[in-house]
Amino acid sequence: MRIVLAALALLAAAHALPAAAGDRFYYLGYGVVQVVDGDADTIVADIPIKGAVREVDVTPDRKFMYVAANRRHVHKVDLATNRVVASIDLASDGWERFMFGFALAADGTSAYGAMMSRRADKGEAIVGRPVVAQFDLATGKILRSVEVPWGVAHLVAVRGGAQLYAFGQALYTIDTTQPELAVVATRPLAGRGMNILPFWDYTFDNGGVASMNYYTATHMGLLIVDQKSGAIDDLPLRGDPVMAYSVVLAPDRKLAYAVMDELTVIDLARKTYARSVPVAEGTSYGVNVSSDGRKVYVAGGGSTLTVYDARTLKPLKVLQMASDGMDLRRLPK
Amino acid sequence: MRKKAIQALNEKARAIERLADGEQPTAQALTDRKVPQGCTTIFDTGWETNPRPTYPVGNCQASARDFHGCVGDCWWPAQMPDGLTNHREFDEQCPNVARDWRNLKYD
Amino acid sequence: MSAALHWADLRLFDAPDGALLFDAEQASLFAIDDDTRAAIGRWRGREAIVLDEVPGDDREVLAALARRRVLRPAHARRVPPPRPDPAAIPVGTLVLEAAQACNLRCTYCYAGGGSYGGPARAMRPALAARAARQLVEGSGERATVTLVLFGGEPLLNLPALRAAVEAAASAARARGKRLVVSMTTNGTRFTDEALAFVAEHQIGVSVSIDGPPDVHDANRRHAGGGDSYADVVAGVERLVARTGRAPAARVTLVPAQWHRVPEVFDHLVARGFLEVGIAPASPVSADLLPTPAQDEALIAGFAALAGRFAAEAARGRVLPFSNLLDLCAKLHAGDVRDVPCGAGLGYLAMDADGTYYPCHRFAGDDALRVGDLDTGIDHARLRDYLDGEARVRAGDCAACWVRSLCAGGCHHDNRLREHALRLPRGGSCEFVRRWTALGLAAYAGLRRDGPVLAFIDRRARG
Repeated sequence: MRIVLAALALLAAAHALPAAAGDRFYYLGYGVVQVVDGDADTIVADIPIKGAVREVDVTPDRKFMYVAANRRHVHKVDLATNRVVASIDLASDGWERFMFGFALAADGTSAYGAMMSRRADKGEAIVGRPVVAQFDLATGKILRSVEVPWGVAHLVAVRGGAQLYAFGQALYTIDTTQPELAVVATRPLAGRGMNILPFWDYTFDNGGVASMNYYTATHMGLLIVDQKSGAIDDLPLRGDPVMAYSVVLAPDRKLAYAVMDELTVIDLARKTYARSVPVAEGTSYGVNVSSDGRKVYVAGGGSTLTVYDARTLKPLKVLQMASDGMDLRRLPK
Repeated sequence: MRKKAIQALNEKARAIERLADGEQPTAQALTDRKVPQGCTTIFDTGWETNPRPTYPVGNCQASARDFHGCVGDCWWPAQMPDGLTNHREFDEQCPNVARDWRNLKYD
Repeated sequence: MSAALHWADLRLFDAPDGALLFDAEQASLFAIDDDTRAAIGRWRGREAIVLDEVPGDDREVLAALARRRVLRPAHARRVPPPRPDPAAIPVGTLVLEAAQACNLRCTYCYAGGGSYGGPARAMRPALAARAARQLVEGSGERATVTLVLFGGEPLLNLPALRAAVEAAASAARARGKRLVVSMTTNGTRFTDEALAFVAEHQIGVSVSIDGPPDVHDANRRHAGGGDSYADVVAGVERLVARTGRAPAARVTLVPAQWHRVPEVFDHLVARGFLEVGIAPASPVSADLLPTPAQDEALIAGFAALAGRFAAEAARGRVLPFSNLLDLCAKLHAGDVRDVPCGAGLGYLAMDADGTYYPCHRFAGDDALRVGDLDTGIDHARLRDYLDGEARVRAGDCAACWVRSLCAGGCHHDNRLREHALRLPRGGSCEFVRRWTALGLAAYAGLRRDGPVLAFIDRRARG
């Protein structure tokens, strides 16, 4: 069981905990991104955004966040001023594009998206082949692309951007270092009976590790991707599966938190579920954790953000957000 | 060889048969694969009677909690405004379903 | 649980080997065997069918029909597309009425001696050139543009024709587009100059000729009196000698001549015409409305030609009867049409003064002026006219089994009947249905791998 051993090795390489939390959370809403101060757990800024926010990525210097909305807009947000400073529309050359999956490229001026496309010609719909494309962040112009099978819904950049992991019915590895993008490896997911809804990965929140849950006919498991090395670890969990949209790792990487209708604590060392509590506010999409590991945040699905005590799983506070939300992301202050 | 019971004669009839041919593997894929990709009953919080003792208890309609995730990407186009084609600016009309549901004006 | 299925709006026709099944909504055509027909007979009266509840062999047959969408869920009805917007469809074909004058005075002419009402006049060459350039420049992404030289008698105004074709050719060259030029003429004006022009620009020519001398000369007479048949035949001989290409024959017959359809066809084929198309004269006056017996004679004549078409096809040969070839091409494609023709939707006509009309036949009808070369196309007016026509006919056509191929019929004939003659709508519908049924049988009888079907396929693809 090579993969399980690799998983344990990866989890052992946890970062040292910071002394204080000092977090900023970004609530990805509809027409707005709201900033929550992780010390006081209060909303400290609203960033008006056009569209339904789906995915974000941050620049390595943590100065800018790129926000993908309505599957076609990309907004550049200055995190110092909490303002949108530039916006592009990927559907400006006659093709309508729908981007599922968004990751910044290493060059700082472009990004990758998994895209479906269509246009109308004399009343007939023409559907483009699904691609993973690299596009210019200033203009939205497509720079290059590679065709991928239907169903790619998420991208994770690994190995310093030299490769992209595209999650769909399979996991496709795309080499970005050559003049043309190329799919260089395919690992079956659906083909191995793994069912994954890869919209949440918490790569930057987890300190460079993507975490996603999947289901088989018999169990739930976690896919853990180390962004630096590209190592992918498959961690099957014992016991009846819990229902979860998303999973985030605790900073000490001994625990993980999963959320849907319930907030569930996962014991990563024992590879099983430690505890579940119902989310009183209802179905939620996103989960995050403070950098000191003491508070767990559950948000989105509806328009609430609930702060839990990580140890007792008692709710400490419920914030009413401006809109429904898709996710909650964390950056250091 | 026995004459076919039904034979497509014109191009339209052939196009319809090709359409039907395409359906066969799709149906098989869904039955062969135990767990289809995407939002399945496993992820389903509110589309049939919820068997769990949690919110939304016993409902059989889309819950407000799960509304937007379904709209924007057309997971459930039958019961939701279609956020990819006909109601693309839906989020502007109704960003907070629990608060703004009275603004719902899709058909 | 499987959903309840409902029958499509289907029609069954007897065929030598089983039956033909035509889905009126989709325009799909199937050959079915006797067992399938019998199963349809057993189940057709049912309002809703759940396949799981159908016993035995019938379930298999009905499932096979469901795969062909002949049985379908209630929600699978075809949703009519929104009305086409003339402003969104660039013009690709322009009919230039270069000469609103004619040297003949055909009794049945819808253009009233060629002038479409008012005095005879000719299009100025400069206007013709502008119109042609505008056609090419306004044709959007179309790869091909078509210029139709029309009249009156177009060859009475050769300078305008030349100006138009040369302007269109140079504009098309500059934009990398293909230009197709065609002309409808009475065939009496093939001067050396005219023939050189036709040859140089490879113009596709249709000649109006109505058959043997007595049929032709009964209606197609010179303005000053006198037969025209001999002049036309001589003109066509000169045309073929100069260009090496036979023209198509465009026949118009008045009801009193409809019993002579096969004879007219044979005469013109023997004369070497490439194809022969036969149009019943439009009812420009009440005396051109047929009696029931004349209607029967027309359908009998067309049926005879359809029979000959089948016999020729069995030998691998195409009977050059344009009406049937066009109908077969339409049936072959099975494209569902929501408008009867391209009038106003990619196709426009311009009269000698530069006024646009949805179709060449409407020139002179002030109610149907839709802009001019100076002010541009009046899309709002076009839209009003087309929407009005569609609205008026929607109810009439809803239950008709040829609706997806016919879509309401010729605007001009409808206007003559309903406005000029004050007749109720639908006067030609029965003919259209009977003719379509003849075409259906002729088309279905073609060998699937034969050369005639291949010919039809090419025609359908344009």
